[in-house]
Amino acid sequence: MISSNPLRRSPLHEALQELNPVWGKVHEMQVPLRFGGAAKESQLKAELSLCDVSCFPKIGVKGPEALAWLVQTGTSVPDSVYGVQPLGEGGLAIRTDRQEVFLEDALGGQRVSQLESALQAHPPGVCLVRRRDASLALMGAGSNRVLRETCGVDFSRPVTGVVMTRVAGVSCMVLPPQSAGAPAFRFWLDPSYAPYLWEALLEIVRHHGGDAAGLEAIDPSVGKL
Amino acid sequence: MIDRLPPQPHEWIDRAQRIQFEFEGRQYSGFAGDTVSTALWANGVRVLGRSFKYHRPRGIWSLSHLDTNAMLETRQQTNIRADVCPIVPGLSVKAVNTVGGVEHDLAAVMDWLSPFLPVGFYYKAFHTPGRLFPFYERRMREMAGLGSVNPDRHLEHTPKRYDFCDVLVVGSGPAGLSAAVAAAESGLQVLLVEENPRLGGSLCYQAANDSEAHKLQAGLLERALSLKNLELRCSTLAAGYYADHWIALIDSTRMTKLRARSLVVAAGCYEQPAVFRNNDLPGVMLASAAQRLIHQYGVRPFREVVVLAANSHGYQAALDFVAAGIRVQALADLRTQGEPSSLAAQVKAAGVPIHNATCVSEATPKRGLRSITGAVLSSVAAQGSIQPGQSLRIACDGIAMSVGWTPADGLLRQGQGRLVYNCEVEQYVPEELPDGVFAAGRVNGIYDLAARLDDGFAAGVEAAAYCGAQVSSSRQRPPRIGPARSHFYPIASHAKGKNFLDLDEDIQLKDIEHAVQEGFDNLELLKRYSTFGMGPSQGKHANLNVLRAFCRLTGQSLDALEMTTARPFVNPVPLSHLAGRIFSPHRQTPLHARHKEAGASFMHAGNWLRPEYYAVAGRTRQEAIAEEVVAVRHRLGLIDVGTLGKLEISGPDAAAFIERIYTGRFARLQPGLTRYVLMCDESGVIIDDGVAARLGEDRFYVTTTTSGSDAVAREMRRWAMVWRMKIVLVNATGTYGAMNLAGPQSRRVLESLTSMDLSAGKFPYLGVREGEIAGVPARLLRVGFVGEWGYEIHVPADTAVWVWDHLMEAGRKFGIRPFGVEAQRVLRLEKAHVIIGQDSDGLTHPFEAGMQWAVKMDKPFFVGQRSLAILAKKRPTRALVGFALPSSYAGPIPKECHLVIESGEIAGRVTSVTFSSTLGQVIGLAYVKPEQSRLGTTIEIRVGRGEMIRAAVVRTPFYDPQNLRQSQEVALQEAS
Repeated sequence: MISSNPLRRSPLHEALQELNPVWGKVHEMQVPLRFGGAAKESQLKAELSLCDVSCFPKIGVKGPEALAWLVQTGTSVPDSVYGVQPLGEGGLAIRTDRQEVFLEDALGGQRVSQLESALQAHPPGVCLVRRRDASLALMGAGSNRVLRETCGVDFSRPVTGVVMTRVAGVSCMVLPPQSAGAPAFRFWLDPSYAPYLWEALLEIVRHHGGDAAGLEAIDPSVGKL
Repeated sequence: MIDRLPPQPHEWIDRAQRIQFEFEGRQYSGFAGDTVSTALWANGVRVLGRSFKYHRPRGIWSLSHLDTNAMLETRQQTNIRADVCPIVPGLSVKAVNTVGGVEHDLAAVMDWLSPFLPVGFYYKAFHTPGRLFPFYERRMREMAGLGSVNPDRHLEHTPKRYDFCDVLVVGSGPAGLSAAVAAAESGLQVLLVEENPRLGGSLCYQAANDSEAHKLQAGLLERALSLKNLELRCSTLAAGYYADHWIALIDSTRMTKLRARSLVVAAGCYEQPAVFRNNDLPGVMLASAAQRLIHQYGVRPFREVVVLAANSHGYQAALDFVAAGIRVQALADLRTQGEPSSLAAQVKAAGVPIHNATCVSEATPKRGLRSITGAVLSSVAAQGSIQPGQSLRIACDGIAMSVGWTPADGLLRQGQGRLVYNCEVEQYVPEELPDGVFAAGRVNGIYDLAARLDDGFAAGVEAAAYCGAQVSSSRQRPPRIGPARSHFYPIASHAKGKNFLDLDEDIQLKDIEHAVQEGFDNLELLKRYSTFGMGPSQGKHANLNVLRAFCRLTGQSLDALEMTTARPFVNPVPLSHLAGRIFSPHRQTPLHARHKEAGASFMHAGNWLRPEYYAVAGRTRQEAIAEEVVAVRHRLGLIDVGTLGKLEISGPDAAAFIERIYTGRFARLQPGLTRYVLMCDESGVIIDDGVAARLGEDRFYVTTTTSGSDAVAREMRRWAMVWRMKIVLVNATGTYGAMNLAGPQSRRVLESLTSMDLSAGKFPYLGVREGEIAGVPARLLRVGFVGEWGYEIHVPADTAVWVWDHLMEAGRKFGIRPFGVEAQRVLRLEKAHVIIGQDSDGLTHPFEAGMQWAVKMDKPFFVGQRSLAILAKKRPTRALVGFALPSSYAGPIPKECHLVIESGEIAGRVTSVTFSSTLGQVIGLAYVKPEQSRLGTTIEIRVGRGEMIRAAVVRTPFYDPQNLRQSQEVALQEAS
């Protein structure tokens, strides 16, 4: 029977289903909360793990008046292209072009939906860009080992902001951890490539002793939502 | 081990670890650190392999990664070089390229047949009669090649890896270590790679008895090891240089893709052989190989040796042999004046007779060619030719050659460095190198030890400065000074031949002479005709001597010659390392899992996976496809069209932009309507098509072909910049899922899932609406690609499965069927809808594809207009027409690309063809001559093996030519 509430589906849903997770619902999307016990997930987070975080709502705002409009709404806009600013409530604002900003809410955030509603009024010079990117988090001390096998960017040196590059042959926007001790590398990519990239990265993560982790590894409070 | 020497001061072996291994079915032992070659030699084994063409016995030659006549295989791997393959417990190897084993190779008869196998013989012998060529080809395939692949070997993972550094130094001899230390002391990240398992380069074998040199090396190594920003990697080959200092590093387990900011090549030189009769047999080797055997492996290379020298290294080698207890029977010096340094006196004092202006003209073989019994010495004139007259035969079991060097400059050449022949040092040296690339040491023509250290230091500082580091000191580059270490012509002719220039390819001096005589007097042609330099060692021991011979034969000078092009890799690399973990991205629509569950058989459409058809138990592929077609025509079908490109174009110039990009008219297209779009390039060739939907005054939603989305988006961005138009372009291909609900019941089913008014009056054919389907925001386009009333439904990708499920559920009682690409192709062909790339090619323009209707030549401008104006005035050369076979036809059905023949000439080709169950006949599209395009014309199509069938040119569309299926009345009638 089909539920009356429209349910979003991660492009990785089938791949995750095969790993028998404990499911939850976040932002109207079915998400794996965890795959194993809490201790195991915590260990994976510290050592090496891969997590699907496609559930976080996201939009793009683009156009000659996009930056000014965002500032008007109280949104912090990065100064430089590929710069990153916090969006509030744990979200991110990433400047992806001279006149384009990518915005993503974190768990429980509402900022993106507020901005999307405001854009329905079609303010002049501002376009809503629907974003349904797949998104992954690569976590743990062993992350660089995985990246060394899949990506030609030297992440051992400090990188501020995002990098547009290829990971395992797929074009991705990559955000390295922005401070020492920050948890994860984040990737955003075209959802049609997501099943392939997940499979490719998970194989390498497992080769180096890691595994898939659920959303509770990112935010333990997710199970309580 | 009969030829093992007492422990040597700097040997590489560990005598505490004895290892058993097997070679050619026999057990041998060696020590940890031995290679197969050194362990076998220590056991008195002299025949390690057989040559490529003549199957002559071969032994140790260079012991420097280049002994490609001693290649082995195991059950897991083939073409393993014995001179670098370490022995490990349980190792079992045999030689490649033998028939019946290396000792008694039956194919050795080829050596006896060699007079009938001169250079280029295959071009001449196998040319005629042509009917015998298949026989020759089979024999050659059996004989040719080296090693065999075991398809049952277990899979090994060799994933590649990226790595980064500021300065890469190649080579760990004095120059390399010095350069690495200098660069690291300026604070940069430095990586030094060394091909051998130990650091030290030539100091490991050439200065083994030189305590001062070893003290210097030890000091340098201590400094290197103390620097945390200097990484030393042994057993790692820098195999290839690519743009922007991207270097391929090869070790035993993987290829590392290194990006350096600068490169210092201190890779040294390859010692060069002399050429004389039987210079290839076991026991004849380079002097440096003999020194490596002694100092690195503690192995006696021979018991009695004749040294052939043309530099001080040969004299040093002779002294090393004496110190190791080897009897040096004589030293033949090619130079008229002999050795100027004190080494000559030392050699004389050691009791070794020295013969100046003397060469070795022949090695006398033992029966069976498995070793040598002596050397024949002959006088040589100043210009290098042998003087007739007396020769001297000396008994020995070894000949050690030290007549010259050639730089290991492969990486420099790959980087487009310019190297020129320097007569002062008689070698090629770098004259001009790319930015960020530096050379040091012997590869740079610097031989003196102190000078090499200075040269290396200077190169390291230059590399550091190039990377922007603050350098506190620098050193002058030392000059390249003589005496030359290489003899200008170490080649002795012999009437009986078997004086080899290239041991890999079994090329003798007379082969080059004959080739030049035959007219191959250009170096590039000579290379291809003779195959010199094409063996596994890539000519490292052959090219220079061949060039010398070539110059002498053609009267050219070596410094005027251009070397042949150097390409990666510098040494053989296992294919598994290149394969690594293959990243071959593919794309899936959000509905992929639903197709799998429904039994889809997938196909590749570009890098997308799409359902070709949905398998049904008890039905063949053709039957399943036909059923899908019937479902769409008479009930309801649902196809995933999520692979279509989807572009959102908005802004004040959006309409004007679309008007310029496409051939049709869009400026006055009303919001809420769609129009077919055709895109041409500037030469008027069709490159893409799709549908443009006007969502608002300055908002368009445009679809492209599956394979065209990225290219079209890129092209649009480019034109937008060129024209400076105010638009916002978003490539939303992955953002939306899309599906086409088509068939007489489509409206009824969709009405149950939306509150939108779907009546023909409110939502006409070619209209576009935005609303909700099953609670999900959606864009609906009424398009007719498959020729039935239908809706192309575009929804956010993460809700596509939700909408698909609702449509399938709502359509169940109407017999809804998912249909795949093959059914869609049949349906669209029945409507004669063109598929770009199938019914068009790289030259097709709209007029010959029957698409004049989509081209509005009276617009002010569109891309390709000017070219189309010219084409419109020209006489057409072909026309795309529809054809049909009679309903009663029961013969073979033509295939795509079958030719249309007229009067024995090609008149065109079939582009699309199918049996239409709807129409009960074979239909298709084909290019024909314009005069054949008249309706009713009979065309002949050749369907394999010369069989011709006749078809008639018919009007298109084949099905529903009036497009009545899009009219409300007909649709309602069908639906009831």
